[in-house]
Formats: sequence, structure tokens, C-alpha cells
Amino acid sequence: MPLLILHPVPPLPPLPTYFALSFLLLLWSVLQAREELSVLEQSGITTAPPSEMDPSSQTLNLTHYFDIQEDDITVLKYVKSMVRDSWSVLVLCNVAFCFLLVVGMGLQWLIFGKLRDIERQHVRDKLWNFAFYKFIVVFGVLNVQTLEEMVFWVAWFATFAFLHAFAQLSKDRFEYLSFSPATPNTTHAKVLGLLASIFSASIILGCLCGYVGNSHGWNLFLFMIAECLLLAFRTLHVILKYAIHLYDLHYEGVWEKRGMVVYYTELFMELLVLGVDFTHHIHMLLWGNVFLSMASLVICLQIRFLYNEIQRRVQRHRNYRKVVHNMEARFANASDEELRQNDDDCAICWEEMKSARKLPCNHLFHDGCLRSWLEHETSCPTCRQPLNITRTEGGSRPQPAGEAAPQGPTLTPAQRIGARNPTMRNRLGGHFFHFDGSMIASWMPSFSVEVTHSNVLRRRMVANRISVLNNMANQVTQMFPHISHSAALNDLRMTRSVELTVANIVEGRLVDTGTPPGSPASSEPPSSPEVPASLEEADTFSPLLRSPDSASNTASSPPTDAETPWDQPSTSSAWHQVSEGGDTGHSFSDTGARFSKSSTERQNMLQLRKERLLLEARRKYANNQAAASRSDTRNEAIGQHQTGPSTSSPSSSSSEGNLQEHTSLPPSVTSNLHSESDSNYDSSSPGTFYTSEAGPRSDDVVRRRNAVLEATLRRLNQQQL
Amino acid sequence: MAGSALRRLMAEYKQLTVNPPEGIVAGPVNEENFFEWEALIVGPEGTCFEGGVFPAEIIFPTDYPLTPPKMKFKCEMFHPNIYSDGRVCISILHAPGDDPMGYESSAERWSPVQSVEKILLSVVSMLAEPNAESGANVDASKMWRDERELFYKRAKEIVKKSLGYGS
Repeated sequence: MPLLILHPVPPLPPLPTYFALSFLLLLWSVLQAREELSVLEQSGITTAPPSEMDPSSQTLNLTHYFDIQEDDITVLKYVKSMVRDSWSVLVLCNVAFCFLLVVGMGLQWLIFGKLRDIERQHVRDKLWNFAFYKFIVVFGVLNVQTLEEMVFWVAWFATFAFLHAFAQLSKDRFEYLSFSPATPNTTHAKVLGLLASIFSASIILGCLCGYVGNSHGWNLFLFMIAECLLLAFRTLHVILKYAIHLYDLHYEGVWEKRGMVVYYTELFMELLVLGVDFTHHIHMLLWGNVFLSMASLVICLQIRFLYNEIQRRVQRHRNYRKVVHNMEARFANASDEELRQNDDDCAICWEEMKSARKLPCNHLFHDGCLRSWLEHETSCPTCRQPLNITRTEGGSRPQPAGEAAPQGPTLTPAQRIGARNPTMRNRLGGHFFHFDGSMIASWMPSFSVEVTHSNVLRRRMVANRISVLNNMANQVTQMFPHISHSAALNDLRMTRSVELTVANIVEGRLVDTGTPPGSPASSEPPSSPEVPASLEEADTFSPLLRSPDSASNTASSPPTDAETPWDQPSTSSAWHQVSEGGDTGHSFSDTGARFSKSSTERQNMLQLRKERLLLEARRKYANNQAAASRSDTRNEAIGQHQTGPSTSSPSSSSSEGNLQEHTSLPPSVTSNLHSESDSNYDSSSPGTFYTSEAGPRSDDVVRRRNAVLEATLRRLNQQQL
Repeated sequence: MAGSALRRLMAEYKQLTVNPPEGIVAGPVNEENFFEWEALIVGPEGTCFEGGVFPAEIIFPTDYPLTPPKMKFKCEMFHPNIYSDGRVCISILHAPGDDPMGYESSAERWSPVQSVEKILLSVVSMLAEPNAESGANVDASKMWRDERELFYKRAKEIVKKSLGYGS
């Protein structure tokens, strides 16, 4: 019976409200304490009545500290008097919680800055799961009855929740940082420092456990130390991974043993954490004396899950050993001579080979690279020749790390869901609890509870995009005050880049209220369907009609054209202008770009290359459209000539001069194009009107096409005459 | 671990920048995350997608190049081998283990010797020659098979849209 609850998390009040309420409560209890103190002082009793607390409670050794003494300072008196009232104690706890929250948020801003959505989601998941689980433990296993005990445990687990949350954040942040080659060292230092302090905090807490356990028995000690160990090992795991990553990043050349080191660190730490967790749960089950209660049920489920995890991990390690063993037995190390003969990088990691293994098909690979590939597939990566290693027993494939797939017929549905759990949580961005009662007894129900926050995520993304667009629109309107903000925004929605929009404005494609006089034909924003046709007349037509070598023609073009970058005879120089128009000002060669060592420079160059590609494509498209629309106008002109020869369109008369230079075309081309000029653009076979080369040649081709069209037109006219 | 994947991606990025294939620009969207790339692909000449500039995102797994990346077009596409949500369905992007269509031979599947450049070139050739047999988009496959002229017209519209000229 799947049960989907969309908003089970109670609508928490916003933080400022919560802080204000806490402060009011604190004020109230301070006033209470003051009243009580004045009563006490009036009656002259300075020592508290004998404690009514249970002698066996955890805080027994602390109670006598809370007797109010004459010589205490006022603040201490207040605190002591407040501690004797259970409501005030709760208020104090709440204040302490507020304090922890503030410290946590401060620390988070200091070290991580703004959290990414996924990190926030993970921390939230972690905290809710932790709170939910520890709630069961506190009331089910520890069987807390007095307020003092409860305060103690809440404080204890709150500390751990705090540390766990930061350990989780550091882990997520580390994984994110490891995706980038250019992270500043200070960022690494901050995260590593936090991890180190979490680790030392868990050791200090462990010492505290020893102290408490000394007076309260070893069961309690074991229970508490397990928490410390879990936290310490998890943190240590992240620290080790971090250290390996940093070492690898700064290691010159190829670190051949890297795969091995990483694998065994992972294996050891994972098994350690799983083992401690497993023992901890078994101990809780035996010590807590909680058989046949709800708590025991939850613990049993957890034990079962942990057991399967351990089994899976061990199985994976067996497979790994087998692969390594097989590989070492079957594929010999390549000799130095073979390496020299090969003289190529490893095809898997693209790095130099100092030692390698040789497959039967004579292909060489790094030891580690080949091993990790063989865990996926038993064939040569280069030639696909099967290698026929019998890797696994029972046909189960080794699992790549972090990926938990069902791996045998013995898996129950609950486990399978448990195994899928991480991915589902990632996808939905929520919590996922599953309870399968049929595992325990056939009549029990099974249900899943899922908490999703996807709407929060989506809203934030939309808001982000809008603000980015707004910023870009502001940039554009600063450069071009005559363009209205909304028009710029509209165009930016289409282009998603300031440079492209600027190019649109300069070309006159984006025209707003204050239309510049040079572009009469383009009166619509580029989003409208007619634009490609109309914009041709604005920008591409005039350069087309002007041949670059006829200087007499320049006078006929509108004077404003001289300012637009498109008024260049060669398209490539136009892009140089545009790319220089951006403030980065890099120069480009057409074949490729320099690969900069600086990350920001690389990003800028990539961005410019992308924009150039898009501009180039647009330019070509516009040219082709021009050619197509010209062929249409010619056809119309023919029609006009047929009905009334007295009307002559200005475009055809102006291009007559152009025509004179290009009459020497081969007749075959002319006849070829003749048949096509009659057909409509859309139904013509693909690519007919397209130019194939960037740069000056494309212009040449367009010019030649124009000439051919003119020739066709003239012949048609002659035929009519 | 992301370390070796990072090195390899860096090497590929360098190769694609210094010596790019014609009509392809590809690189990380943001260098803070080297595992998310954006590629611009120009429609191959002499085909119905000619002249269009199609943006696509490529998401790499952390164990790249052992497992293939995922590729998805970010613009509207209408093609027999591209799902309607933009995901690209070509054999080079499929790990040897999984076979969603049940027809591909293992030889044309992903292997670590493949690269981003090879993927993008395969996509270009896929744009040029749709494979209607393994239709990811059934409507497009059908139109490609039965009403070729209509398909060309639709492709032209997509090219136009991809250049930001609206519909």
C-alpha cells in the first residue's frame, strides 16, 4: 500500500519568528526565576530543598551543583533557580538549540558560503532521518523517564546531529570540489580544517564517554562510544579520500598505484563503518531489552539492511580479487621493448605508459585502467576481442562503487527498495521511508512514505533564471539607452547571451521605440516568424548587392550601413569585429583556439567560440534566406513584367549593374539553377541554396549565385520578348 | 574517484579546443563542475538539418571513461534517433551491458577508447543519416520513412528555431 505524502514536514515557522518566540519564552522564565528568587530571599532560605530527582538518573552527580548558594553571582542564581523548574528547563534547552542553530548557520556561511540545492537537501534529509531514528532510540531503547535524562540525551544527540550535518556537508562539498580542476587552495584548507575539527570533536566526545561510562557501567559506555566511533570513522573516510584526491591532483606524471590505494581505503573504511554500526545495533537489541516492541522492529530492519550491505561489499571484494588474480595470471606485463614499440598513451586514461599489461590482441593498457575496465566488461577496449575470463560465481556482476543494484534471487523487495533508495532520493529530492511488514509476518502491511520538496527546487531555479536575464537586460540597456528593458529582455530570452543581443541591435534586428534611421525594413522583434525574410533587406541585402571590387557601388548603400559590422565584404572579418566588441578582445584563428592555463580565460574563450559559431550559422542562414527570397522576388518581378512592363522594381534595376560583371559563368551552372529558381524555397531539395564555406568564399558563392539568378531572369525576359 | 576522470576530461577538452572538428564546439558549462559539458553542433551540410546550431548537454559519470556519458539536446529536435525530451539514442552512448533496443552489436557500443569527439561526430552523422530502424521517436521515424518531404519541412523549422528566429 504505497502512501505518498507530499507535505508531511509540518510547516515550520520562519527562523526570525522562531528566534523571537524563543527570546520571549526566555524572558518569561527569567521573570519567573526573579519572582522565585525574591520569595526565597525574603524567607531567608538560601539552600534549595533536597532534590527530588531520581538517584539513578544520569545527571545525579550534577544536581548538587544547582543548590543556590549565598555567594553565587546573580546570573548563576537565576540559572540555578530556572533549572529547578521543568518548564524553564525546556525553555533553556530551546535557547541552547537556537544558539546551536545560529552557530551552525554562521559556520556554514563562513566555510561553505551559499549551499547548493543538493547539499541543502542532503543535510535536511540527514537531519530528519537522524532525528526520527534517535527519537525511537531515546524512547524505545533507553527508555527515558525523567526530564534530566531527556535533557542530557537531547543535548548529546543534538551535538551529534550538528557534527553529522557538517560531516555530510563537507563530504558533499568535497565531491563537488573534486569535479573541478581549478579550486583555490583556501577552499580546500577550509573544508579540510572543518573535517579535522569534526574528527577531533568526536575524539573529545569519546573521552567524555569514557568518563561517563566509568561511573554508569560499560553498557552505556558502549552505546555512547559507538556514536563517537561512527562519526570519527566517517569523517576520517572523507579526510582520507580528500588527501588522496589532493595528492593525485598535484602529482606529476602517472600515479600507477592510485587505483589500488583508493580501492583498499574505500574497502577498509566502508567495512569499518558498517561493522561498527552493525555491532552497535546488535548491542542495542540485546542491552535495551526491547524485544517485541516497535523499536526492536526498527532496529531489526536496520540490522538486516546492514548485514546485506556487508555481504554485498564482501562479495564485491571477492570479485575484485578474482579479476585481479585472473588478470595477473593471464596477461603478462609488457616488456620495455614492447612499450617502446607501442609508443602510445594508454587508451583508457590518455596518459603515458611506463609499465603496462598486454592483452592477447597486443593492445597495451595501464594495470589499474585495465583492471577497472575488466570489472565492467571482459573484452579489449580497443578491438572488442572477448577475453573470456570467468570472473564471477553465479553470474553476478561486480558492482561499481556507490551503485547498488539487485544482485541475486535472494533479495527481498524491501531490500531492493532500500537499495534503490539513494537514487530515488536524489531524483525526487526528498525523504523516503519504506516499511515492509511482510518480511516479519505475512499479515503485516507494507507501506512507503515519501517526502518531496521538488517544488521548492523548481521555484528557485526559475527565480534564478529570471534574475540572470534581468541582469543581462540591464547590461544591454546600459549600452543602448534607446532600447527598452522589455525589448532587450525579450531578445535575451531568445539569444541567452548579451553579445548576441548586442549584435542583433547593431544589425538592426532588434528595433524598439527609437528606431535608428538606417534600418527601415526591420520593424519587428526577431521572435516573429517573418523576421528572417524582412531582416534580409535590412542587413544582408545591401552587402550582397555590392560587389567588393566595385567602388562606385558604395555610394548607393545607405550611409548608416558603414557603422554596422555586417557591412563587411567578408563574413569572417565581421566576426572578428563582434568578438573584439566583447571586452575580452581575444583574437581567433579559424581552426581552433589556444588552450589557456587559466580557468576563467578558458571559459571566456569557450563562450566566445560558441557565440561565434552561432553568429556564423545565423549569418549563413540569413544569406541563404536572402538567396531564396531573391529568387522569389525575381519570380514576382517576372510576373510584373508580364502584366505591365512599364513597372520596374528598384531592386532588379540596381542589380543590373552587378550583373554585368558575372556574365561569364559556365552555362551548365546557369541552366542548373534555372530549374531551381522556379521551385519554392521550402520544397526545394535540402542544401541547394546553402553556402558551404565560412569566410570570404561564402560571400563569393552568394555573389555568383546572384549573378546566375540575374542571368536566368534576363534569359526569361528575352524569351518573352 | 573523480581524479582520473578529471584528468582524462581535461585532456579531451584540450584536444577539442586546440584542434576542433568542423562545426563542433564543446566544453564544460562551468569549470566548477567539469562533468557537465555543453556542445554546440552545426547541422551537417547537404542534409535537412544543415545550418542549424543545436545545443546539447553532456553529463559524464564519475567513473568516466569506463561508463559512457549521457547526451541530451537542449533545443527542440525532431529526429528518429532522438527522444522527444532530447536524449540521444545512439549505440556509442550505450554501455556494452545494456541494450535498450535489442539490436546493437557490442562492437559499436561504448568503450574507454571512445571520446567526446567521437560521440559528437557520431551524432553529426546520425543527424545526416537517421536510422529509422531503431526509432527513439516513433513519429519522426514514421515521417522519415513515409513522408520524407514533410520531414524535411519540419527539420527546416527546427533549424530556423535553433538559430533563434522563432517559429
